[in-house]
Amino acid sequence: MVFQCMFAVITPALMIGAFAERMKFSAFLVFTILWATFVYDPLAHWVWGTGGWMRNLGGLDFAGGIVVHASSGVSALVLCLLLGKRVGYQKTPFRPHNLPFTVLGGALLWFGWFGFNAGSALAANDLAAKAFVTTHIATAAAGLTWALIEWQQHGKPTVLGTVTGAVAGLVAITPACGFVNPMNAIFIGMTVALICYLAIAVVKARLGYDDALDAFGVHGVGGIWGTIAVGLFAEKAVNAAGADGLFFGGAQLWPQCIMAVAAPLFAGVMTFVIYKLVDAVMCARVKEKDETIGLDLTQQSEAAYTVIE
Amino acid sequence: MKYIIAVIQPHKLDEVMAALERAEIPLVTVSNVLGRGRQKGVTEVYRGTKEAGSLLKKVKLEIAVNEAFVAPAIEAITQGARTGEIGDGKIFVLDLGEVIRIRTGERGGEAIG
Repeated sequence: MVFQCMFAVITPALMIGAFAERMKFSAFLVFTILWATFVYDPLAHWVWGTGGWMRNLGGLDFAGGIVVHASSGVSALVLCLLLGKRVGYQKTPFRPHNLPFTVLGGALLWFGWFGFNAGSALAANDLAAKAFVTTHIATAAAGLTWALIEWQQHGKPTVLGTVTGAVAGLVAITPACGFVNPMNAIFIGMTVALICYLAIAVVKARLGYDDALDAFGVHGVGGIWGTIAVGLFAEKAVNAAGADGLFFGGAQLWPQCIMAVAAPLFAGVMTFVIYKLVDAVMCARVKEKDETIGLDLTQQSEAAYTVIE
Repeated sequence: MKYIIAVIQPHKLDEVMAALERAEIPLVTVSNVLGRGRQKGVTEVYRGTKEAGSLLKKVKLEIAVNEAFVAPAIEAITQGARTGEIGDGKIFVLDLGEVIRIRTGERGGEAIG
């Protein structure tokens, strides 16, 4: 019960990073409750519940790649587009304000993720151990790959990039962790770093939407790729309750692709409807003046950082 | 009386302080500042996206001196702060109208040292 509650709360929480510094606190709270109820809850039942149509179709999602990450990532993108860019985006530099916090947060995520992924075996058995290993190894591969891509593209690897790559790895292995072997987990980690890098550094730059923490680029894109990867790399030798993917002679790719299209589509449309509703009733975006002063001061009347240097 | 303001590289502060000490000018106010000159800061890259040059960390020294100490002070700062690379900083010399020592109420050249 508490385990499922954590999934339900983390999913809308993932979106916060996308529309940082723009949305009214009160509107955000209402949106979160509506979204969890009308998007997350149905999706979770479709994929994991007895009689859910995606489950009946044969769709596999071990720990929430489609239910949690793809759905919230795509919803984050919809919110970015609806709310608009932050004042001054692409005109003044927006720098991450504390890289040590980024590392600390990334480390907490990496560690906590073992609970989500290995815990999704719902028992302390060998399947939990398998999911634990694939989670760890895919994440390491993704972080390293991202650093190498940056090294090649910009001449230097960065801390922020490595952490972003690692999170992308965690996302992509989430649906697959209990269905694939460790070697393929490495491959999933490497490919997701490349795909998410392209989504963030190339596609986002071209389209110009303002996804502050790249919730779509990492969770949306990574979650969709991970879900498709299950259709390629899943094998019954790892998990008898799973299925064989394309590379192991099975037909798992088809249900995975249906899920990878249907779930984001449903989440995106519902997000649009819920946002319009909330916006009509309480005006979702903060006033420009409040945004310039900063949301810490205008929404909460407190300063986040009172000691400088 | 002159008011000398120098903006230098942070890592050269110790050398400048030592040079000022040798020139018998121990009085100085130091602050951390941000700034940029012709080098326009350093380009930063975040998640593969380039951000235009940001401001660089610098250290600002402020020294009030009598005429006799102007040249030695400039000499000491230059000696301590110069690397020959772009970004070494600048020294500004301003006329100083008045100096008052708060404790005693002394004014002008008496109060400065």
